[in-house]
Amino acid sequence: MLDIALNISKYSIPTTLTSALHVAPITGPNQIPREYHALPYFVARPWEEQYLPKTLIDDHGKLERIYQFAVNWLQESEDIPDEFAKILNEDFWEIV
Amino acid sequence: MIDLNEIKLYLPKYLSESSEQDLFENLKDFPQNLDARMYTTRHLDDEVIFQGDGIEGFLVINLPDRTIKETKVVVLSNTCDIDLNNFRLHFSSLCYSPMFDLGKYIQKLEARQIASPERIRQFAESVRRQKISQIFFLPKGGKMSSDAFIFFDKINSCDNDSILRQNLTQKRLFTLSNYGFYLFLFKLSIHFSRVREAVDRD
Repeated sequence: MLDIALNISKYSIPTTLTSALHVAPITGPNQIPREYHALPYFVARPWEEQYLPKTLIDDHGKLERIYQFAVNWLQESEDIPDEFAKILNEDFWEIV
Repeated sequence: MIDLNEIKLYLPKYLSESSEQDLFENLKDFPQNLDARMYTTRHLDDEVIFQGDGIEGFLVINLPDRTIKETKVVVLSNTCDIDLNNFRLHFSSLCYSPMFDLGKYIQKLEARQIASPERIRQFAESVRRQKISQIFFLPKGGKMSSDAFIFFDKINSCDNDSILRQNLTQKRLFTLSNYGFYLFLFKLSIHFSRVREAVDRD
């Protein structure tokens, strides 16, 4: 905290936060709504980490992990083929 | 741009530090960890039905077929909505989907020669890796001795009061772990809430 106070004029909080955030050029699957592509992507440079609360950095890392998990999943998702679904309906009670 | 504080709204808030760490480690390892890690034994004796619970002995119908039988199901309703301790002016119904045996299903597909063996094998692999959007895969674990799955669009419901909580210990097959529950909610949400309708309603 003392470090932050001493350097507050050099690295003002708004400037630090603004520079620490940018919109990543993420190439997600087409099915993701466009606004999801605009999620802020947090990049903490080594010199910035000491001026940002650790919890803030951790939260961004977690959000990024969830986002990447969702993107990867959606990119891989597929529908069940019609003929496969039909069999399940026809033999419903033999498969439960 | 999303406000920094708003980001926290999308992160789990009720987990202990170690549980949260486990959850994120599991999300990182997905889909290589679709196994018994999806379940927890911590709440097997609780007289509470949790969202995502596997329970046997629920009445199921597959309309327009009028046959009704008891079978294993997965609870889709929110835990809070069906908790009998929560007073509500409107008594919630309990929503659930019947569980299917993946092995039996694959045998049926092969017997009917619905597709080439290779395509059926690929389909089974897609189910196991949670790729099929309508299906939630349930690996063997808990009290289940074989792989199973549910369809999100084969929903039944019943009076919430009709399910006795006192004998849940005998009837509950599994409760989803933090990781399994996250996968479940994620897939359930995408199935019902994805913005891909492509219809201009106004």
